Amino acid sequence: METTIDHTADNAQSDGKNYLNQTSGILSWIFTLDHKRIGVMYLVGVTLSLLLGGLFALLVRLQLWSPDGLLVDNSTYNQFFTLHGAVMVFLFVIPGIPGALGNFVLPLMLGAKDVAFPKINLFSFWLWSFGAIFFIVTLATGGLDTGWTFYTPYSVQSSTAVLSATMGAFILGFSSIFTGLNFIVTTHRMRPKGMGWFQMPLFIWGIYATAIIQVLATPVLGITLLMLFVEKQTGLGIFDAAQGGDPVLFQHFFWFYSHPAVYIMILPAMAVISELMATFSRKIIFGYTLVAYSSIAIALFGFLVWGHHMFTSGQSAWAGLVFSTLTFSISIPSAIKVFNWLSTMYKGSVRLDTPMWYALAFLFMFTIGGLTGMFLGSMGADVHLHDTYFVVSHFHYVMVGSIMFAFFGGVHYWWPKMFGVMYNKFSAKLACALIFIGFNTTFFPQFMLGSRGMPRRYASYLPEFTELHQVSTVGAFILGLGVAVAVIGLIWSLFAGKKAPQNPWGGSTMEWETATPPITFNFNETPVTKPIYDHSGLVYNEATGNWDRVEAPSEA
Amino acid sequence: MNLPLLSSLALAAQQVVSAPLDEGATGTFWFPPQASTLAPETDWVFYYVYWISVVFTSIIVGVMIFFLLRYRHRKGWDGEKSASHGLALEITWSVIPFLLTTVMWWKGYETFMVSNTVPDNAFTIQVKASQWTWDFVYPNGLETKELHLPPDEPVTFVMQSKDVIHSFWIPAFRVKKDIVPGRYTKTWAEATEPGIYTLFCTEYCGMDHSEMLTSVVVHASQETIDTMRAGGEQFKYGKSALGTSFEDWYEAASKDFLAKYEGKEPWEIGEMVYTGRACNACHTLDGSVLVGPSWKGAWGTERQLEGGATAVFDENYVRESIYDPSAKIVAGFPATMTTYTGLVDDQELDGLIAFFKKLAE
Ligand code: HEC
Ligand SMILES: [Cu+2]
Ligand SMILES: [Cu+2]
Repeated sequence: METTIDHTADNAQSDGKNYLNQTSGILSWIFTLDHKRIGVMYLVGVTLSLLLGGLFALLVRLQLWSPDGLLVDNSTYNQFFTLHGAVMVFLFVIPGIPGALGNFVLPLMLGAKDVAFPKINLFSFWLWSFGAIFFIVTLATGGLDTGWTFYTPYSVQSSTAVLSATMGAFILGFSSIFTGLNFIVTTHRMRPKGMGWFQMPLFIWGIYATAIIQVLATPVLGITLLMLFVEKQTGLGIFDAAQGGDPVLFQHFFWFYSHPAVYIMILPAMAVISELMATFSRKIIFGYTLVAYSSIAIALFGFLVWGHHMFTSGQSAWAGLVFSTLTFSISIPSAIKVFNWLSTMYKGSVRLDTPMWYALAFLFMFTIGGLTGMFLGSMGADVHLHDTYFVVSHFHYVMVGSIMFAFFGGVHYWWPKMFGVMYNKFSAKLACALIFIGFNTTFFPQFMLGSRGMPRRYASYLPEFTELHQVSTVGAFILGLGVAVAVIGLIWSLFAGKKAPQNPWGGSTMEWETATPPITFNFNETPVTKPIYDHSGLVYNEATGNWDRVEAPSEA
Repeated sequence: MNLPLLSSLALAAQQVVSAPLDEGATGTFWFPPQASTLAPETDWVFYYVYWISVVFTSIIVGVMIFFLLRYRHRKGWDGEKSASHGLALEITWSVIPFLLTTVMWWKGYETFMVSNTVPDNAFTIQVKASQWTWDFVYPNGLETKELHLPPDEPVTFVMQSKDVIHSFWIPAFRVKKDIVPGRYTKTWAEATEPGIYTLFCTEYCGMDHSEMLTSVVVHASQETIDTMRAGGEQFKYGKSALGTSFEDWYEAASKDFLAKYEGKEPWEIGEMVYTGRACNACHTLDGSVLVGPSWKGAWGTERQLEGGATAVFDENYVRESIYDPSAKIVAGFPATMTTYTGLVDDQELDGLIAFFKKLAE
């Protein structure tokens, strides 16, 4: 027989007070040490960045409507694509999921009251804000036209605001390091009694693996940018051949960070997808242990593949071979993850709520993003495809098709917990469909553009590429519309949304045991660790829309 | 049949704009035409990965749809217990991708080595990249803005950059190599299909990166041309430079080129350098300011330098400005001009000086 268990109900008690209304006033947010509020502030910040970066993306696509460039001259276009890339990468994709979702969810999933170092956490958000301001300053003081990669010696020569932009990226790097540090210590020290490493939700595994890379790789970016800074100020001659430096050295440094950074971006996305697949299939992730290990494998291998960005740079063939080998090795754990997610649905009870729409779209696009990476990892094909639209499309399938979809999937998943309201399901699904259609219309043609001969970062192009570019531009506007619908739908729900139950999706991890929205210290009493992804004690209650926890029916 | 250099270039350029590819050589859904020995090999690797991708994507999407139809929550279906992992299955789907990627990896490397192994003693063309033009220097000193190549003969490209990193890409050849300042990089190609193709810069190099392209003219062999003529056939390649063999073109163009300053006034030579060396990308003659100062009425004036000093715009100043531009920086301008040592010779320098004098008249 089913009986309601008491301690869950205790944690659901909130007597009207929660982390959102406990204190009020702007200062109570700016100086908050509450990981949930910090998470919400990140969410606002990264979403604004996404919109700003998206605006530049639309300008880029508009310019490329016609072969001669529809809108602006070459220099202005160069600024558009640079700012699009820099804002998206440094302000949205890297901090997005760890900053917003990681901060909010990680301690809740551990049944903890906060992260290990709440003050450092706040400091890291402040740093993020300062870094973001530097980027805005860059916009206001003459733009940036080096590409987000800051390749030397062009960046040394450029008369745009390279200094403030690198300062911005430098500061953002520290923000990222502090966040990583915090998450590592939190994961090690604050697991509840009974939760060993292999009882941890895969979200935590993913965030933990990410944190390792953040802490180890980001300092290299900091140092590289600092060297660039010095080079530009004093003409020291580190990277500039005219002063006796080596421009390719910059690329090695840059990608030593920036390839691992790709995993800083994708591992949290994978982490979100693992949660979504488990909850909406009502199953444990198939091959849980392997998926957990594969996160760590990806994190470690990720450090050793940077040279695949440089097959045509003149690095030795031997170096190329080594990097190609390692690149293919890292594709295996990624493939394993896809197969495991897919198998999770097997004999499950699959529910197609909005977050699951995003998760399935992710699976499709991550597959394409990953497989097109094989073309580039294979040196012979890469020679032709490097620095073309093929590459542009490949990494957008990963960064937008996968990461942005996981971000939206995660936001829709945890939104009821964050704000205590349900969004309109229809508009949320409509947005997902628009984004999916818009995205593929934008980027699929770009694969063809690239292999047919269209270089990247071009303000104008040969007439033969016109049609494909125009299809791509139309897609971008559909994509933009979808994002707008999604964001507006979510904001709307804050005012008009139905009150959310404690556990609207039947999630089995600890964050669903708190009140909705959670109280300031998360739990009245530390929740009891249950077997990981065991959904058997959760039963849907038609009347309340909640998944009530009942005593698991005895197995006989 | 000898076409003079300029008109052949004009024709080539025209052809690139109106009809980028000559008849006969057409591209496919994924690729531009295959016009070099490397192209089929590269495409093989591409298609190998491509078909594997198609199969895997289909399997993944197929399984996803099947699971969705079969296991979607509905009346009468609320999931069933099943294994939470399966060693055999997991080994299978690790090992199969591993084997498939091993082939990709090795074939990719082999193909790369073909493009990376520059043949000895091949006909060598110097490629000089600078913001935002290409210059090709042939063994006898002939310099062109378009690249002319013989068919069916390996050609080595020895490349250097004057300023920032550029990248040399001919999509129809599937050849790409970065050009890094401060060192020589090399690549090579053996063209197989006569035609006119496009050469792009693919490493972002500043403002006019997207205009840094030129055409590649692969000539038909004398034999092909003769056979066609003998058969009374129309030239397959029409009036363009392709109707001339590479050897004939080379001879004619060289004669024109080496005699280009013959009978010219010094100031005319200066004017030719002004446009030919693309000084006009940064300097105007009408007083307006681009990247650098305008040359209007500059001769003999006193220039205000960065740091407070002044200098008179005279012979020595011009020489220094061209060969060692960072020695004296005009106040209010960035130090972006790079040296022209090795690119502007004595005759041309004298020409420029005469040209400056003429401008101040
Ligand atoms: C990439 C842009 C660029 C190109 C191309 C360029 N220059 Fe300059 N040049 C500049 C800039 C900027 C300055 C001013 C800063 C300085 O003094 O170095 C300058 C200064 C000069 C000066 C001193 C001018 C003065 O007003 O005092 C001379 C002479 C000159 N250039 C000659 C040439 C010649 C000859 C060429 C072609 C062979 C050329 N430049 C090509 C950018 C360029
Ligand atoms: Cu990489
Ligand atoms: Cu370029």
